[in-house]
Amino acid sequence: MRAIVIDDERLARKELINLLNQFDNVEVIGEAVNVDDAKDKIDQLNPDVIFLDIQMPEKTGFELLEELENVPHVIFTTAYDEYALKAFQVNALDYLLKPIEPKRLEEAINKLQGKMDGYSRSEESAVPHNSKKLTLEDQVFVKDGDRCWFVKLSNVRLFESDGNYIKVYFDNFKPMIHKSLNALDERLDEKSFFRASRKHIINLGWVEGIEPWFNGGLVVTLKGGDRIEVSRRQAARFKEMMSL
Amino acid sequence: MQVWAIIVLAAFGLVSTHFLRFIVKTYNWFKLSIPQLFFQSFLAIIALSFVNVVAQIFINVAFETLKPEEDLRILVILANLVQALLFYVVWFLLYFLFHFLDNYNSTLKYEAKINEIRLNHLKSQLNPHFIFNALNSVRALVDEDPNKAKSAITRISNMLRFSLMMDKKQTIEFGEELNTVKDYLELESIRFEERLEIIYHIEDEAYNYKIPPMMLQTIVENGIKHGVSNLVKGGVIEIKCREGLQDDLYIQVKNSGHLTHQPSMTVKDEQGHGLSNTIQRLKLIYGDRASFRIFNSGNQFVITEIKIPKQKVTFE
Repeated sequence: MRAIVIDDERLARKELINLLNQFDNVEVIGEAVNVDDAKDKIDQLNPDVIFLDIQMPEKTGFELLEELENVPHVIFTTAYDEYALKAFQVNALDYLLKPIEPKRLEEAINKLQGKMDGYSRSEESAVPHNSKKLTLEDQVFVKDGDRCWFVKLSNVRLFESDGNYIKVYFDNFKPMIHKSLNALDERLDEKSFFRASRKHIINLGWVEGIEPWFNGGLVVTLKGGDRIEVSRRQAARFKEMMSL
Repeated sequence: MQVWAIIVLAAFGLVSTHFLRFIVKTYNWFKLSIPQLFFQSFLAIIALSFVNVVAQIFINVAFETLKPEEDLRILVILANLVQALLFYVVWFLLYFLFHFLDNYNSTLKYEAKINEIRLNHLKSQLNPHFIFNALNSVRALVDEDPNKAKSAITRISNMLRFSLMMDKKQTIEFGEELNTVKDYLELESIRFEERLEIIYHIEDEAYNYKIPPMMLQTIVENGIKHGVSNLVKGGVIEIKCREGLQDDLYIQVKNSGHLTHQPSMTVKDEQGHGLSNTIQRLKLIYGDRASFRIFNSGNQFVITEIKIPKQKVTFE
């Protein structure tokens, strides 16, 4: 796997790169000293994984993730952040505590390697992979206040636009991200996600029931009970997609 | 007529006990030793009882309720005297009991406050973020520059030892605190490398002062945490210590950065935590004679300044 190490401290980067060099399956292809630098490097080099420090000058590691279009796999590195550790109670995302214990690092890398192997197998069986579109297997980074999640898109049942924000519905949470629904719609795989109306994008995997509604529209019930109206214009397309 | 006499007598009782309270307060009887207090209260009670008896007679005369053949008998006067005496004794007991309880209560509150501050103080002393980052740098230094790594380990141990010992003391020698701050800044400059510039201006007179432990340290740490470490290009920490005109020490820490809001006094506010603690400690140790300020100096720098008097307020 190709990795970028992001940390504002030279010695911290050096220490981690030293540790990473002992793994045959990891190749460090670059290092970055702050969020803007990291953004450029990630766009240029397209790494499989980034090792990301949370506390950095001006912008934190979280802000980097919010700014990225395509988020690679992330392993956080932090010295001691109650805040950060709390933020990840929700979902198991990997983080390493500095000074990094080599054994812990090995575990993290093996776990990630397993995950990546799983991906490539499913990708081979699927239709040629379009790297620009987000599929159900992709994860998105969502931060709301002081909580963060890495959510697999297959777990997201609904996106709802709310002013300049989008509410992301998954499990019992609906954090907001700062994005327009149109921009998001363009990036989502149309086989899995459907633009129900101006306000909503639904995950087709979560559809449980469909009823006719006024004016030739539809109401879709999602698993979990959310009821979403499909506008008349979209209803025809929807029927077409859902039928054989 | 009898009723009015009783009302006026009651009013006299009220006035006399207030007078007594006034005496107790003006001459600060609370500070007296127990035997002295007993002696003085005894005299006061006797005197007031006599006045009370005399007043009783005058009041009766005024309201024409005096029956000379009965009221002026020695036995009756003595009985009145004993009655007045008892009245004042009970008043005294209640008064001092109340004050004792009140005092006890506020002592408890004071101690609770001190303990709370001590606790916060301890928490702010060992900044885990700093310790772990420093250790991480040292791990990298072991290969790169073993000698530097060794001296860094010594500095980390110095700081740990200092912070473990210092919570017991109210103030320490200025020089001792400055050494810790120097250790701290050396360790931070290993982390930040060229991003941290350190400047000292210390007058020799400063070494004659005693200051609360970890106070300068906290201020410098704040300057790094909220100032220098947030700047991509890094910045400066400048420590200036000079003696003022009236036997007081001015300690000024100037750091790159910008203060966006005044640090609040509430302990819950994470940003201001260290500083609100500092303000509380200054007040506890020096009363109103110490001062604390934090302000922007232009757009590039923040200055934190404390003034510490040579003498501290002593608590018994």
